Amino acid sequence: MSRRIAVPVEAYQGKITDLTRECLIAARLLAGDQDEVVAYMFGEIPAEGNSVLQLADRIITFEDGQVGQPVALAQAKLLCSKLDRAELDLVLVGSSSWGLDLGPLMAAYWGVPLVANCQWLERRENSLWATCRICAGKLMVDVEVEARPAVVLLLPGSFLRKEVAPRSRQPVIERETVAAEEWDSRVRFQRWIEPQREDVDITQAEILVAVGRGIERQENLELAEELAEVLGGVVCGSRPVVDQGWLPPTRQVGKSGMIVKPKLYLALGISGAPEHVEGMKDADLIVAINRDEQAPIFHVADYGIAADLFDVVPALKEALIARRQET
Amino acid sequence: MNVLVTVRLVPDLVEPLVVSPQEDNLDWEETSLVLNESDDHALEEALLLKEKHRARITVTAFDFGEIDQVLYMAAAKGVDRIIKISWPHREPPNSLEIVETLARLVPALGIDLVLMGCQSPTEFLGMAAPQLAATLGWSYVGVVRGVEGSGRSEAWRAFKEYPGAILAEMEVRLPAVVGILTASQPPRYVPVSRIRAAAQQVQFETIEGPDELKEPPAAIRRVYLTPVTAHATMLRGSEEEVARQLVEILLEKGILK
Repeated sequence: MSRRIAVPVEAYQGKITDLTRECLIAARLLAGDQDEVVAYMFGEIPAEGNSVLQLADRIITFEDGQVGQPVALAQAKLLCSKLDRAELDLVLVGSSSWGLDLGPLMAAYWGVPLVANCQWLERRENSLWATCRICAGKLMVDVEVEARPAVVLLLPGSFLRKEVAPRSRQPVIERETVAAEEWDSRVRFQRWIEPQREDVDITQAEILVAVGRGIERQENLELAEELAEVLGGVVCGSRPVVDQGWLPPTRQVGKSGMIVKPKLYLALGISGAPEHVEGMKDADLIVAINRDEQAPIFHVADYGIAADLFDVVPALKEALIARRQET
Repeated sequence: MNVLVTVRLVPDLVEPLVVSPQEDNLDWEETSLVLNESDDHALEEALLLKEKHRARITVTAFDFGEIDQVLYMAAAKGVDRIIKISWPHREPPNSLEIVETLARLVPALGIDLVLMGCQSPTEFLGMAAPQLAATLGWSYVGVVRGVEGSGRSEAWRAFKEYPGAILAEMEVRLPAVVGILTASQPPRYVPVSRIRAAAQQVQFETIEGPDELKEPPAAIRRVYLTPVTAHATMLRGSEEEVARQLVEILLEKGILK
């Protein structure tokens, strides 16, 4: 019997997100030719969206009223009422700000398993096997899911570059109406708030000195600032540093911060959580200093130093100054 | 308004992690625990609501690890009531056990708003905050950077974070669960002397945890440290030696001129 994989589509700033595309690729690989991939679109399909949605067999759009607004609570309720869960094998949701609300709500409304932080997904006979990446990327867990349907929150990165065979036929597009009473209005979108642009745009910097939890205290940022000055670079940080208010949000690198591609990314005391790596993995040269040699940042860095940053950074600053004086 | 905050201890991610010999969990006896960062921010947001809107704050936590220290800290910061949930197990509660317990507790306490970290680093089979909201049938917004009153008692504003440091302002009707990522301001510092004083004075209420452990919704087959598929070239030696090597690399790559 044909199984159905549902992929709720996330559009952000007028475009279907890369993570949705990745979910569709994963769904297509799992479905093969036998099973059906259905994309669920809230609002009209964006102009460039057709090529992404080609990966689906069917596209179901909800266009009435406020459904295009990013309100996961109402959208989760709508999907749970519209989808026949008996026909479903899997709901694949991107692990984005929106997906982190939508997926767990759907799983709880239906009382079905939720697998979060999923990095890899495959079928083995009748089971679904997921590999989850947790604890800031330091730990992996293999889980076997037998109950169906399951809701899976997919992390970015593992499926985006996988080859999928082109579909021989165009997906069927169906439009579902949404009655006013089907839309849960207890949470309402009001407006987007753009960040106040600060002194520098880190996405334009060629050299970034990034600090993480290992910097320990706000006053220690001075060490990174001095190093950045010697290198001609700019200081940025990972989420914990920004959350402490030590750097403004516009200097945060990662999934919910900025995506940067500098010539040099020097990571000081950053563990390398997947959410952070997503924002800096395309830097030309990545150098990491972290006292934990197990830290995942060393999996993505070109060069690593497993030592205390408070020992290495002053020595590096001195070596750079000495080099400059020689030339 | 009555606000509930739930705090959880999670592995200290600065320290190396140790997996159990059976490879089915972390070795919790070897694991350093710290307060879940987003729960710390949830507590701060509740304290801000108390200051601005006279909210009454109840903090709850499962009795696992050195949770008393966290609860003394919460008391020193000014929360009104602390409820400790008994938990005589060697592993912390999973998301489903947290949801089941809180879903029983919250209606009995007359809570209007639950603030909790939108995620904890060990969650993979379930996520407590959104699943609690769904179980209670309450409103939910997660990945939130701050909550504000809207001028109407039943509707509040939550600021949900999106990529590029962009926020979505959402109106949330109470009762609600809000999954906090970051508070409107960094968690406040409280001197050790005040924590010690709170430890002398505070009285915890205690309640029983769930009657039975909840099976996870999927079978955990293996837990392991993230394998190294690619690794940095490690520079070794004294600080001065690694610094010199790094300067040479930066010169070679054309980054230093």
